[in-house]
Amino acid sequence: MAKEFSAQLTRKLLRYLVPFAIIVILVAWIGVPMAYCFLWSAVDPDYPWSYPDPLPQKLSLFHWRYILENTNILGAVGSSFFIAGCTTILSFLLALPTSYALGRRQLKGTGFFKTLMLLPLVLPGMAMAIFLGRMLMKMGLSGTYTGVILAHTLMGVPYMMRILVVSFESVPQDLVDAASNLGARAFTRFVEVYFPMVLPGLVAGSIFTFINSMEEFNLTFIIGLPTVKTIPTVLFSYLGESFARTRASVVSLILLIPNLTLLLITERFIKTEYMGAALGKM
Amino acid sequence: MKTARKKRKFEWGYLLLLPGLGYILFFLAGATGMMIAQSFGLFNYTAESRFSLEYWKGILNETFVDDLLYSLKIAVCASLLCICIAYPLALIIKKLPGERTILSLVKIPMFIPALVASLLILNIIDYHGILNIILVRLQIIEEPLRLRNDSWGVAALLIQAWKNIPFMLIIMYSAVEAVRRDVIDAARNLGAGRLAVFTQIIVPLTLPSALVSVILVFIRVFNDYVISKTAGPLYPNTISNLMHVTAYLYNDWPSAACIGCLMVITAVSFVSVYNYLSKKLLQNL
Repeated sequence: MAKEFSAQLTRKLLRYLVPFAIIVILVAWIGVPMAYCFLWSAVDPDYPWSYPDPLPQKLSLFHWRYILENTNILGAVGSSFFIAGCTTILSFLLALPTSYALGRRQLKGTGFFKTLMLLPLVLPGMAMAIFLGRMLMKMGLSGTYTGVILAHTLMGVPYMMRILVVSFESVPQDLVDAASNLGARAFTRFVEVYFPMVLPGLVAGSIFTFINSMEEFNLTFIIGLPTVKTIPTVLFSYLGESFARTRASVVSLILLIPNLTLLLITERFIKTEYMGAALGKM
Repeated sequence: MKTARKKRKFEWGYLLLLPGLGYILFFLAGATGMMIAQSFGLFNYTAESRFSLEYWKGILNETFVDDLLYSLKIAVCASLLCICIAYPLALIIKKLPGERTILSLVKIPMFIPALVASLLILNIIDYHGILNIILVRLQIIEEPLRLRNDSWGVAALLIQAWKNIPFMLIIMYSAVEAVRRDVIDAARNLGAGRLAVFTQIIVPLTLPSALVSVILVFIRVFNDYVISKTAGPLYPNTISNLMHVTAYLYNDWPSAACIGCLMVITAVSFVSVYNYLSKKLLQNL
C-alpha cells in the first residue's frame, strides 16, 4: 500500500518536475546569453571586464550613449522598419491571389508550384544575394531602397504564400457553398467568407515576413550598401569586420527589442501549425 | 455554354498564379542566369567580357575543396546534433503539462537573427565567458578553453545548434501533435503495449517530418555565411565566404560565379540523394 502510494507520488512528482526542469533549462538557454549581452552593453570602458571576473566591475551607459550619438543607428532603425513594412505589404499583395489559386482551385500541377515557390528559401543566400545584386545593378536599382525592398520581397513572398495556402486550404467548402447558395458573388464570398477565415494566417504570415526582413543580412549587405543601412549591416560592421563586443552588444539589443516585442504582442496569433506550415512539410 | 464557362475559369486560375510565382521566377531566373553567364566570362566587370571556359578549369583548387568540406562537415554535424536533441524532446514535451509555456519559450530563438545569436553565444563560450569560468571553478579544466575561431569549428557548431534546435523542435512538435489520438486508442484497444504504440505508430508517423527537418537544417547551415564568418575557423571557412571574398576582395567575379554554381549543384544533388534515400527508407518501414 505504502509502496504503491510512493510510486504514485514519484510519478506525480516526475510529471511536474520534468517540465519544470525543461522550462528552467530553456530560460537559462535564452536568458543567460541575453543577460550577458545586457552586461556587455553596459560595461564601463574605464573598468574593463576580463578573465577571471564573472561580472563586470562597474556598469555605465557609455557605449549606449556612444552608439546613439556618434553613429547613425537611429537612421538604420528607421530604414529597417521602412524596408520591413514595405516588404510585408508588397509580399502580401503578391502572395494573396497566388495563394488563393493554390489553396482553393484544383489546378493541375499545384504540388509542383508549391515546391517551386520555396526555391528562394532553399537556394544559397549568399549566391542569390551576389547575383541578384548584379541583376539589380543592371536595372539601376543597386544601393536604392527600391532594390532592397524588391530583394527582401523575394524572400518574403514564399513565407507569406506558404502560410496563406494552408489557411485557404483549411476554409471548409460548405461555408463557401452556403454563401454561393445564398447568392454571394465572388467578391462578396471573398470579403465575407474567405477573408475572416484566413485572417489569422495573414497576421502570422505578415509577422514572419516582417521579422524576416528585419533580420535579413545577406541581401542588404550586398545590394543596399553603401547607401542603404539596416540594423544587421551596422551590427556586422562591429562583429564581422572588426570585433567590438560592447558596441555589437548595444546594436544587438537595439535589433532584438523590436523583434521580441513584436513576438510577445502577437504570440497568440502564431499558432504552432503555422510555424510548422511555414517551416516544414515542404 | 457550360463547358465554355468552365474553360474560362480554368485559365483565370492560372493567371492568379502570376503575381506570386511570376515574381519569384523572374528574379530567380535573372539571378541564376546572371550567375551562369558570368561563370563563362560574360558580363564581366573587371576584365574584357567574352565567352571562355578558363574560369571553370581553375576552380577546383585546394581552397575550394577545403571550404566545401568544411561547409558540408558543419552542416552534417549540426543537423544530426539537432535531430538527436529535438526529436526526443518533442516526444517528451507532448506528454507533459506546461507544454504551452515551453513552446512559447522555444519560439524565441527562432526570432533572433543569426548575427545576434552568434554574438550571444560567443559571449558565453569566449575565453572569459561564463562557461569557461564555471568549468575552471569546478576544476574540470585548468585553462579556459579557446573555442572562438577554433580550427575545427566547435563554436560555429554550437551557435548553429543553439539557433536550429528550437526550429527543429517546432517542426517535430507539430508532427507529434498531428498523430491522432484515436489511432493510438485503437492500437491500445487491440492490445498494443506502450512500446508497440511508440515503435509502430508514433515513430512511423513522425519519421517523415524528422527526415524533412534534418534536410532543412542541413540547407540552412550549408548556406550560412555570418555565423562561420564571425565565430568559425579562419582558414577553412564556408563556401559562401569563399564566394564573397573571391567576388569582392579579389574582384574575380567569374570565379565567384563558378563557386556559386557549384554550391547550388552540391546542395541540389545532396538534397536529391537524401530525398531518394529517405523515400526508400519510408517505403521499407
